[in-house]
This record gives sequence, C-alpha cells and structure tokens, in this order.
Amino acid sequence: MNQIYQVNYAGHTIRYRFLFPDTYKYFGKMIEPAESDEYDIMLDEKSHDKYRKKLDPICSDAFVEFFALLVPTSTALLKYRCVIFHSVSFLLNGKAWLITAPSGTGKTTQLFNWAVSHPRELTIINGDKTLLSLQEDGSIIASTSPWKGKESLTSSHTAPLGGIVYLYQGDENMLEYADTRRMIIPFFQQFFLELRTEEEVKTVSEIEEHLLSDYPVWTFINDGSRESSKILRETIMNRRLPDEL
Amino acid sequence: MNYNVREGIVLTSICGQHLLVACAEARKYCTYTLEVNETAAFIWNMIVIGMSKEEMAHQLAEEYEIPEGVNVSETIDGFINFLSMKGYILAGDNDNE
Repeated sequence: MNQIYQVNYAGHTIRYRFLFPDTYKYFGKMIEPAESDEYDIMLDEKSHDKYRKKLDPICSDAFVEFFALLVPTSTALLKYRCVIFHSVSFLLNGKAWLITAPSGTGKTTQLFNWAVSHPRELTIINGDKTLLSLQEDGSIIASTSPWKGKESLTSSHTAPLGGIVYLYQGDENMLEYADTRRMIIPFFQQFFLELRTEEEVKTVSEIEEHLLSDYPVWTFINDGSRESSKILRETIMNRRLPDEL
Repeated sequence: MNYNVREGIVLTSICGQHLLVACAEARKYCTYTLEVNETAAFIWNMIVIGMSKEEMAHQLAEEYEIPEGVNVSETIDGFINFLSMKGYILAGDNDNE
C-alpha cells in the first residue's frame, strides 16, 4: 500500500498518494507522512506519461511525478485562496519581492547579480515558484513551495508582499511602472493552474486583481548586466524609480 | 438562431478588464485567455443565457442608448462570428421560434 504524505502550504495541508516510493524526497523538509489514508491528490498515469515525454529522459520517474504535481497542487490550493506563481522571491526589509517572467528571461540572473554585489542584503524565499496566499484583509503573503528551480533556492521565510517586477529581455535597461492593463494576461499566464470551474477562475482573478492593484508593479526591460541589477536594486530599496529620487 | 457556448469558457474580470478563460476540455479548442471589451462582455453574457439575436440587439440598444434605426445587429454578428472562429461558441439549433 502506498504511504500517504502531507505538505503544509502556508497553513493549509495537501495530502498526496504517490505513484513512486521516492517522490516524497523531492519535497524536502516540507513533507511528512500523513496520519490517515485519505489523500487530496494522486497523479494519474496518463499525466505522468505526458510529463515523462516532456522532461529529459534521465529524470527519474519520481522526479517526473514531483514535477507533474505542481499544477494540481496549485489548483487544489485555490480553495484556500492560495496559488503558486512563477517567480523568484526574496525577503528585503521585511517584505517579499517577486521577479516574474517566462522561463529563460533572466529572473535568476537578476537575483544572482544582486546577491554577488550585496551578499547579505537579501534572503531568498523561493528560486522559481512562489506560493502566494490571499489573506482576509486582501493582503498577500509570499512563501516558498517545494518547487524551487534548478538552483534549488528556498528558505522557510514568509513575508507580506512588497511589490513585483515583470522582466523582459532587451538590449537596454528601462524600468518603469507597469501599465496594469498590459499585465493582466502576462500575469495570468504565470500562475500554474489547470482551471476547471468558474469558482477557480474567479478566485485566481481575485488574487491577480490584488496583485496588480494593491502593490507596486514595474516592468523592466533589461540586458541582464550588473548595471541592470543595480537599477533594479535601487528601485526596490527605495520603492521608487531611480529618476524619481 | 441561438448560440451554444462551449462548455468550460468562463468570463471573468480583472482590474476592470474582461477575459474569457478556457477551462478543462475547452483548452483543447480555444486559447487560454482572450481579452474582450465591455460591449463584448455584455454580449457574451446574453449569449450564455440563451438570448436570440433579436433579443440581444434590443438589450444592447437599450444598454448603450443606441438610437432607433442604428443597426446593432452588425456588432453582434461580428462578435459572434469572431467567437465562432475562435471556437468559443458553437452554432446551435434554431429552436427559438
């Protein structure tokens, strides 16, 4: 009989029944054996096969299962008004800051540049897939998830959201306040979800509305240089664009 | 004629902007998200509740205070054709007589 495991996501428990015995290892310190035989999520073999084909053949079946569980987990968390958002996140001056963009745009590069130039200034929350939790008062809290990216960057820190930067690759460095309307679909596409119901759509819409309305959102066309990271750092530290200072 | 909305399409609103979101099986046929303007969202809601084109034209004219004689059907036709092309609605049976 497969053992059931549970993971605590910002105070909400999701229980898994795994297909493979080693899958639990990829959840790191966030996982523990569950007390009962009931579970919330079990991946079906068809979904596993679909991800098996997408991922490098050297990946183990257990890793494929772990990777495939991201979307059903994030979708299951919607009932708690939580969702997993594609972003690196870090703690600075008591707030969580997100850098978001499609894969390969340079989120981790910005993080690393900053960490190299100011080593003890920021604390990573998650290196790839941040858990966002919408609170009763409409505020958003950021915390880690088990999916932490290739560099395995994670910590147990949790913090209220401070702001978000959406990255674009470019030959110049231009950081400005985002046009909210232009961010609606890019942000929506950064949630890891397999939406099934109107209720789920409404919940993620509510979360996104708070993200875009209640927090500073900047767009940053950048060349990935250390100079670009200096601009990013100045903006986040001061919560203003450099030319506003 | 009435129109059938593909199952799994949800109209939502974020920061005042309307989106059609394809859920579940609908994702195989439609793009995940499609921004639509306020008029389109108004028409969509009428399609969802099964109004005929004539009823929709009447409601649209009333909502936007369009003077009599102005042909609002063209606006509705245009949007419905667009949605049909994109797979969001399917031609239904003509059972509205």
